[in-house]
Amino acid sequence: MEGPTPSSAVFYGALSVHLGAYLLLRAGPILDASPILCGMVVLAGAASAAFGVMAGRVQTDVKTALAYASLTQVGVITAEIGLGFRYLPLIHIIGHACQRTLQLLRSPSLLYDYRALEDALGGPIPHAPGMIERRLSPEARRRIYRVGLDRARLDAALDRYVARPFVRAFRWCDRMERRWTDFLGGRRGRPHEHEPRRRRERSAAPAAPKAEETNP
Amino acid sequence: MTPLRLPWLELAILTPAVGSLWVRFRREPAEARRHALAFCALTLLLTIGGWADFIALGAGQADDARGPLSAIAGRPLFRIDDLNAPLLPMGALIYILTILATLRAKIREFSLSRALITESILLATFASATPRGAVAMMILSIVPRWHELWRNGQSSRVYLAHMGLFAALLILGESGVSRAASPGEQPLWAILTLTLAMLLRSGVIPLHCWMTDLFEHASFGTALLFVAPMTGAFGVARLVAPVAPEWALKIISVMSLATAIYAAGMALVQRDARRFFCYIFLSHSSLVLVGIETATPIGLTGSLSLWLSVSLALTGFGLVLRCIEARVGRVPLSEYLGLYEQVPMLAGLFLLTGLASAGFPGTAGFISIEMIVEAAMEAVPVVGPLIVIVTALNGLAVTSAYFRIFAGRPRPSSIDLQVRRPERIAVMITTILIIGGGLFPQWGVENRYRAALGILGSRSGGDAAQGVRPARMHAPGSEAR
Repeated sequence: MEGPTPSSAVFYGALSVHLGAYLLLRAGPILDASPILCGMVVLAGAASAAFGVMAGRVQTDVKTALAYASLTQVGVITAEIGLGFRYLPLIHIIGHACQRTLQLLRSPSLLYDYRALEDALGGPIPHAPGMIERRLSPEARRRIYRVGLDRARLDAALDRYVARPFVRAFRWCDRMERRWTDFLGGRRGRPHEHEPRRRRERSAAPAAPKAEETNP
Repeated sequence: MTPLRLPWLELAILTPAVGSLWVRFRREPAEARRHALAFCALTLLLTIGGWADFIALGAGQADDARGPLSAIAGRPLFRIDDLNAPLLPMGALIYILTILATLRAKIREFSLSRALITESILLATFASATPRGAVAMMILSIVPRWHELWRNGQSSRVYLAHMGLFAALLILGESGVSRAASPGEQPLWAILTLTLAMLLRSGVIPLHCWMTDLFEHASFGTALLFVAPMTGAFGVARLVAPVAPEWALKIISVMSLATAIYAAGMALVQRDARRFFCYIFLSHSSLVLVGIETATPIGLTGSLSLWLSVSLALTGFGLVLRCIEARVGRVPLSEYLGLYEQVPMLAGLFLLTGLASAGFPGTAGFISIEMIVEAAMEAVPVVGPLIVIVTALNGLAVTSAYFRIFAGRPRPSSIDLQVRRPERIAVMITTILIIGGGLFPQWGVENRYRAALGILGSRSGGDAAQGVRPARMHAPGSEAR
């Protein structure tokens, strides 16, 4: 969503966001053969949709809010596939792609649209609390708000438990490979960009002149 | 055996060899480049002519019995069949594109004469009528690269250690296989050594370090020309697949898949563009081997199709990196270079070729990856998702490198970085072939399907009546016997 709006509209609104659901549809025969797998797909879809709603409703910029709204719909589509529907998710994908692309393309002029709407209504747009909003206690609402605002700390968890170990492991492999080829090629002491900074600087810096050399 | 109407293959092999000598004595670099391009263009036309003649003949395979070299040797030295027919023009195309995209400033580093002689050796490897010929050419192809490393004062020990082992294993394995009394009685050790030799040449882990070393220390063009035609995959398809039992194919398959995953992960953490390219290439070329080892018509067809699309796409990808390197020096991936403003065409081609190699829809690689995944799912269900993970990692690595090189704050440059006309021509040819192959894949896939049937026919002893021929070439003098 950091990219230009038209490319976000095409890629995230219409194309790439639905690729997972499309692949699931292609794998329909495998799902048909396993009710447990279907149940897991429904659960995953429902959890994604619930998380999308929670996080999307507290975002402060329109494109991120739309991204989470897309996540909600894709979660619902996934649950539909898990429930055994085949044509319904397909129609849902097409409809959602069209609507979301339009929303993303209109997003830069959202404030203008709101102002036009409020001018037409003659005042601020009325906000009526929803069913869940009415039934939850203020404390529960505050907690859910906090979870939504933190995005359930999923980004941080992903970074800490998946991305960093992955990068660290492969950088270690890279260091080992370089050492091996340096040893084999007779090139020793070459500084390496994956080495810790202090060691790299030590090997790159020229040797300090000895006291007797500087003071003859 | 049906002879070709003209000695296309011998002419295609001799033309760059003669060109190499001719170009060597040109003093003016621009003139040498023009002449080298002319020889490459002629070679490409001759290989296309050979392919067209082969299709027109409608035979299972055809030889070059009317050529001067065959006349001297007293038997056909070169042969064309469904497997090598498109590989010959592909090899010639890779060379012409590389020389076309070589800027005048780089001609002193990149020897045109050496490039032409290696083209001749490559075409001879692909067209060899006998396994021994292919083996000899594969070993001969080691020399020019070693010569470049030696001339440039670079350490060639890593390259020599690996390639020396490759040559020894290849000679040992091939001599053992060719001495077998009958097709099913090849000794186990010979098949194993032959398999190991091809794994080494393909850069399968843990025997891949020579490739990263070559990319780091040889010129980019030389390294690209050595790996892009995938001679290792050719060796597997031609020499190993026809004789290897199921277990040997499984070993290759498992090791290739492990290499594909490992190299895709390594590509993601690289901070030097050359090493990044090397790992991306390694990952894709290993996928080709995974497909070959499924030994099913659909898997083999996918693999042979992927071979062509990956060779082409990654040649384009490598040439883009080389063009960038020619402008800004060694390309670091640890910072944002912001080159989009200066070279938007190269940015577009970088993304197109990179994603095409990963099998992006609408490009030549899409169908191939689809077929390999399908075949792998049928053979071993776990392998299918792993291939998808590999392509996803490769796609991520390409996108990440794109942002590093082209995104970021543009830096002012005192020299004009715009794409030159020859580079633009190379870009256009690559783009047309990648997108054309993606939009109209049927003809290419049919062609590769016939080649796949040929390889499978050779594994089951051949079926000449149905046009399914053994892909394994006859031993020298076998027809006389």
